Amino acid sequence: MMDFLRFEPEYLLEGFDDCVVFGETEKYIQGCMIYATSTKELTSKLRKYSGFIGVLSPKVEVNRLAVMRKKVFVLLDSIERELDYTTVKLAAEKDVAIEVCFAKYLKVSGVKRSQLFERDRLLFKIIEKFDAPFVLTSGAEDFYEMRTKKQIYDFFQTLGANVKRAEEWMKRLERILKDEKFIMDGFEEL
Amino acid sequence: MKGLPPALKEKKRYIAMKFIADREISKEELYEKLKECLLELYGEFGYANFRIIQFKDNKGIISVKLRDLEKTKNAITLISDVNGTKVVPLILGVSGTIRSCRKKYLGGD
Repeated sequence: MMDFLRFEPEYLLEGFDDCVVFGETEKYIQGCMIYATSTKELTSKLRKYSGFIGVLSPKVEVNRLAVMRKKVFVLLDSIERELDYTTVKLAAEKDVAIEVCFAKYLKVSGVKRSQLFERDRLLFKIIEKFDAPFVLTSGAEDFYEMRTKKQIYDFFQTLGANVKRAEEWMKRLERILKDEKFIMDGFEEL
Repeated sequence: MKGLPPALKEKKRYIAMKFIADREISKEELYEKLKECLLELYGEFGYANFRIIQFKDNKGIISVKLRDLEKTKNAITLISDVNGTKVVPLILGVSGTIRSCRKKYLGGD
């Protein structure tokens, strides 16, 4: 199973055999993180970069535009990310994965953390409704934010995530990244 | 309560866990941190009573009631530092008896 990280770790914890690093890496799969606060910024940055692109934005309209772009594979997660009902529905239609990371819970405490619990609980409900692609990751920025796959999946299960479905979506993303013969579900080069 | 018939006794589970940290964490430090984490997460009403069976070389076993297992696991996962020392808490596994927990996860007899 794959994990999404924001740094290059020396080794991966139990349950993960590979990872996408949204940062500098030589060992693992390179991802490209685009941080944008306006739609203009997003379009200009999307023109510049290519590869496995993930978008991170605190603005709903930027995330909505991001899911409609062919170049974007995943909407990255952080404390400040804002999504709405329409964006999740669009993500399901356009086949863009929504990342839900664990590391954000370690950065806050108290009321802010309880708000994050509430936000993710609602997000999982909407994801379930539209069967939107979503991935559960550690999203760690340093080694101390990393956890085993079982810990992350158990934690999100208590928040109402369908972990089996999340695993399936992650396996699919892994195929898109690694299998050159894979075109889409049900289609592959022979 | 003492003297309960077996049917009313609550089942226990034993969590084998390990910390990755720069220094050795003591049993008392772990107890205080886990207590604080559980109270912060679930409050006094949802607090999960736990007991540290053993904790040495940053590895140990925690005993909890079966109904509080998920709560305790979540609280352990959310520990990020102990008295200013950054740690990675790893849950090695859960067992029904102390003996099997030691045998399976801590490499004891």
